[in-house]
Amino acid sequence: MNSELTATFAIARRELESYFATATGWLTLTGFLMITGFFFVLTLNDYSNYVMQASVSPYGGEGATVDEALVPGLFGNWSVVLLLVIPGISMRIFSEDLRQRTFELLLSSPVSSGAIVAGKFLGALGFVGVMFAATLYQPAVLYALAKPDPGVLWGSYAAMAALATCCLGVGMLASAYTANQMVAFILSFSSLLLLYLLGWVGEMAGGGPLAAVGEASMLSHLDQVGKGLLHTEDVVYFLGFIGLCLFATQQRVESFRWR
Amino acid sequence: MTRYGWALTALGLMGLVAFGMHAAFSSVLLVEWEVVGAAGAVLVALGITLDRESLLRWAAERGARATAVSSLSLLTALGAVIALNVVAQRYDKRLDLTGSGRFTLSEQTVKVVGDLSEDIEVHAFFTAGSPEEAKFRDLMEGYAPLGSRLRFTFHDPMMEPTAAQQFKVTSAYGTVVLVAAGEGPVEGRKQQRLESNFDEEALTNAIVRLTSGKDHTICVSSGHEELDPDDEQQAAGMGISVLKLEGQNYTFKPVVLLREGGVPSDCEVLIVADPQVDWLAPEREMLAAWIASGGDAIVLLDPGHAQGLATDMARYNIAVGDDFILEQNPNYQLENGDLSHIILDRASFDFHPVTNPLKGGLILRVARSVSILDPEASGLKAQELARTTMNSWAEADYMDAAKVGYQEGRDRLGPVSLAVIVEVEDPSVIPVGSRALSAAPSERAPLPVEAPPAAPTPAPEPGDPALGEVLRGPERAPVAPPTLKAGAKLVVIGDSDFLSNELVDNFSNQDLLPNLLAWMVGEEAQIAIRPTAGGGGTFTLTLVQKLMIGLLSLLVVPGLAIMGALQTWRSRRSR
Repeated sequence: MNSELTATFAIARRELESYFATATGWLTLTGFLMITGFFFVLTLNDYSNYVMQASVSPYGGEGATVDEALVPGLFGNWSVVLLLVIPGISMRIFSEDLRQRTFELLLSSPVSSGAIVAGKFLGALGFVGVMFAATLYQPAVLYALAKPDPGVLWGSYAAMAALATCCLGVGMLASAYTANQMVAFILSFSSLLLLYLLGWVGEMAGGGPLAAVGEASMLSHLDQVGKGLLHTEDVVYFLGFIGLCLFATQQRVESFRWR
Repeated sequence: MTRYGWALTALGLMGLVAFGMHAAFSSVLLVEWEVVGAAGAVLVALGITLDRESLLRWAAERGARATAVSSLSLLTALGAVIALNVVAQRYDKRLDLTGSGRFTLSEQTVKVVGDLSEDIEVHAFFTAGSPEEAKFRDLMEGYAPLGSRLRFTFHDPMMEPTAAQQFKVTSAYGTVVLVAAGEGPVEGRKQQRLESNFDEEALTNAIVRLTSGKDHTICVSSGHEELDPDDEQQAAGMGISVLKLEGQNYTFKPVVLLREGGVPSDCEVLIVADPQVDWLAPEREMLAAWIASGGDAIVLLDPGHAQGLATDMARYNIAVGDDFILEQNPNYQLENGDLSHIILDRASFDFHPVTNPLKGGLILRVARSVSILDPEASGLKAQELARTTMNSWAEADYMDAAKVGYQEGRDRLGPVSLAVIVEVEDPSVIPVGSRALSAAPSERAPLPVEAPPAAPTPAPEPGDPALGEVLRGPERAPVAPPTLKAGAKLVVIGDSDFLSNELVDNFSNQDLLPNLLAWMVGEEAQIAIRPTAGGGGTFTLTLVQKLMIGLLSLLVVPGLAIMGALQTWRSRRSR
């Protein structure tokens, strides 16, 4: 068990280092920071103008607080950014090894497929963690300007982290099916887009069986956490979703051993 | 034929999936779809039979068994995850992470809902997907685990017009109707309504009123071309306002004071809504007797109407101006409306249980000034409820359009008071006539019903010598001396349009009359719950702050990552 864990962390470290060993990883990080930074500036400006207008209008002040009008809008943009960025990170997880034929080496090592999947997932997750950590200046700016509710602010961060982890799970599964990184990207992006759309289908349905279809989407489980309200059903959904993706990937990796 | 086995299987599977989807999403299983399902099953069976040799060959291949096991494991895992989610949804618990406890219900609410002894249906009418609906759903999720007595149902008034009609929903922005659970039509059951304020305090108080409130009779004065309480169609009627209150625990009854010989004893509140024909002296005496004997009244007086009654308000320490108010502040005007449309917001209201819950403000149209005559008067505790802005004025020459415009010394500059509330502490200070009206209509002395209304007299201002004349009341008709009783409440508002069918669904207009009635009959918010709206404050950015944030977000932080990329590229090149 110990050796499995050691192997898992060794793979995770190697995976994480590989992101920073190439300019691609850094450029992905730069792109993410540029886009989220752009949205941050834009949202803050919009919010500032909105508050200014609200201050001279008898009814505009309702719901103009940072928690209600700024934080949800800020992180609402993130969900779209992550839809594009995460497949870019996950596309190389297995595809790169498959393309370079180093995957057989990994399989021939005395490491279980579970440890390989977990290690690679943790490595990619570490890179996403670095990406998120690099945006911490944004809450710092918000705290300097106002007093956002920690539950709302960090709840929104947690919601985005859960979304990113789910996207990573889907992306890793897609990457295990092809040696072509571009195909892996398109596969994971389209799968995630479909999951997003399911959420909108559920919203449009209003009620009834189609609303249950919407429950399969990650988006429908983000709203509440973003407001600072943690539901056990959302926790179960995210854990189940990630677990299922990891299990499916492990089954796929295991299938390489049968051939 | 054998080589098309896979195609038949695929076609059959498509048929089965289509049938499954229809069965899942449709309430009625049509025969046509049953045929599709059956045909799909037959095709799958046929395809497998035709393809059996290649299937057997595949099964004999290395890894086929492992693939089958793997697929089965995946399906099992998927099923387990779905089952877990279904269970988690059913037994969902929530944890409020906010520092202000925004989603945590107060102890009062927990107690009220926990102690409910009867079932209550809560019908929430919101546009599906609207922010108002989302907010109320969050609130509902807090109430739901407190007990099974509350049954929430959400309706989209656009999608369910029949339900909207059944519950008399007229607002497009949301209505919540609480109905005592039971058999039979909704009209026959106790009801409470929330029209614009859907927070915890409003909902819990509605529950309290529904379960413990007694029935109240509200009398509406008629016979002087007042707003018609039964008219729900015409813009000038007030039927919609009455409709929303009837069935809660209010019963509205039109009364003609002269016919009744006074305000009937079963009335709890008398509403006088914009009489266009002036009141006669005996009627004014009946009103005075009613108030001196502890009765409550709401008097709505539009500019130019019932000037005699308006002047008579002086006996209650209220000055009703013979003017109309024009508002110049664009923030307090209706978009595309003229100066006579006046918006009142929280800054316009004085602190009072009637105005405190009016979160959405009010819109008035063509209003007159109503102010306190003598702030030092004893026995009559008066409070101005709402005022216009400093940019408004009360125009005295409103009958002549050519003269409209602020004239110093003649017109009154804002802020102008629009509504006054008086609580009678000592009824003996209210002058009431001395000649008795007969108790029974048959014995009643002929009343001057045919007499022309008294000529309008200008309202006395504080310190005006005419005030004494009004209070002495030389033309006051005598009525039986009332049994004096303190505690009467009188509200005079210089407008009635806010209550009309045309304007009642705008802003928080629909809440003003229910708030007034609830306060008068002693059923104002019985439970006060601290607001838990979103916090965090607000801020605006200076130009320097905008520049600094822009530099940090778009140059400094991404620049560090670019430097990392360059460093990696250089180190790889140097190797």
